Amino acid sequence: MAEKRAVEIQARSVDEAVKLALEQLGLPRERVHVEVLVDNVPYGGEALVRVTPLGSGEVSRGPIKRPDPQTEAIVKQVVRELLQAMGFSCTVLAVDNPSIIELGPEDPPTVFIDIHGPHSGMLIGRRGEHLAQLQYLVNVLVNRRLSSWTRVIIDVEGYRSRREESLIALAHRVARQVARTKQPVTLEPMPANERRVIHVALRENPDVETRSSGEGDQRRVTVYPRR
Amino acid sequence: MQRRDASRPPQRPHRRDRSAIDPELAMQRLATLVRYIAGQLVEDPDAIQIRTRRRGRTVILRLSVPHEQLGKVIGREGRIARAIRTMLSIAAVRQGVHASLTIDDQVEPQPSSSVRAH
Repeated sequence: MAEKRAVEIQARSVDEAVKLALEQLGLPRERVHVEVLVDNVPYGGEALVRVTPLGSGEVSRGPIKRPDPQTEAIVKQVVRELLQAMGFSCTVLAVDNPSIIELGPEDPPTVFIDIHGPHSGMLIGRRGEHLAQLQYLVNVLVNRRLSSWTRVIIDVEGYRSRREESLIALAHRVARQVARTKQPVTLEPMPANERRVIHVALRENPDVETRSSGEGDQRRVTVYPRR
Repeated sequence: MQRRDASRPPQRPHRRDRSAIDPELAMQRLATLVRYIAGQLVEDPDAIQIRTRRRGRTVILRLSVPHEQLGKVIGREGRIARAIRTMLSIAAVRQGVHASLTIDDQVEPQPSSSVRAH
């Protein structure tokens, strides 16, 4: 079930980004859906596109609502200044929600930030620990400047997206096993955002259901056969 | 008798030689980073103090904040302090040094910079 998923590509122009995405997916232009997430080319920046294979069921998302451009600009400035003070010269972009987890009405306005650039792998750290700390600090700094509570989610070089993809693959693999053996399987402890990916990935699976148990950093998801 | 290692080049440059970056400059940059972050967290950025020491390539920073604002740079359960230290250690690697940060409320009167013209 190696279904092709959407890819996001950054390049110096929209056309180039689309071309690179098509190469990566191995699909012709008419079999994909192209969304231009960021086009900073007229301002000497780069373009970011999301290319989704048609028929993969991912296009049918509601219109994505983004925080106002002013809020995004402040968030980008906070991240850029912080990275510069840390000795990094990275590209900082605000993008549409790249996750399968859609924002609900109870979620605060959320800015999604993408960081690319030399040495930016150092910002991820072992198991994303540095990235988690960076994101936490940016949220604190941003909300010192803004009057209303805004959440910032940061990704570096597509780390979170890749992690999400592998979690979804894991979820489907475990679900097949549980459906076959009728025995529940408990996954490794995960942070809240990763557990949520598992729950959402299996939400519509007719064979299994998921529940979390445990406390704090020992909280983990169990996949049960559905009766 | 000839010594075995006589043919080796006398001083092979170390593979991870980072001496290209001046540790003194690195120390200044790291102090600037801590000041940049902490200055945004407190009410009055001029009220904080950063003292630096250096032992070789190890930079020791000390951030002093007025007592009543200590919580703003430490955060609940020390989460902000932890995040600042993580950013500091990443920046230190970029600068080719090691760094540590202590945070306290021992702000000392600074004769040079605290005097302001009326």
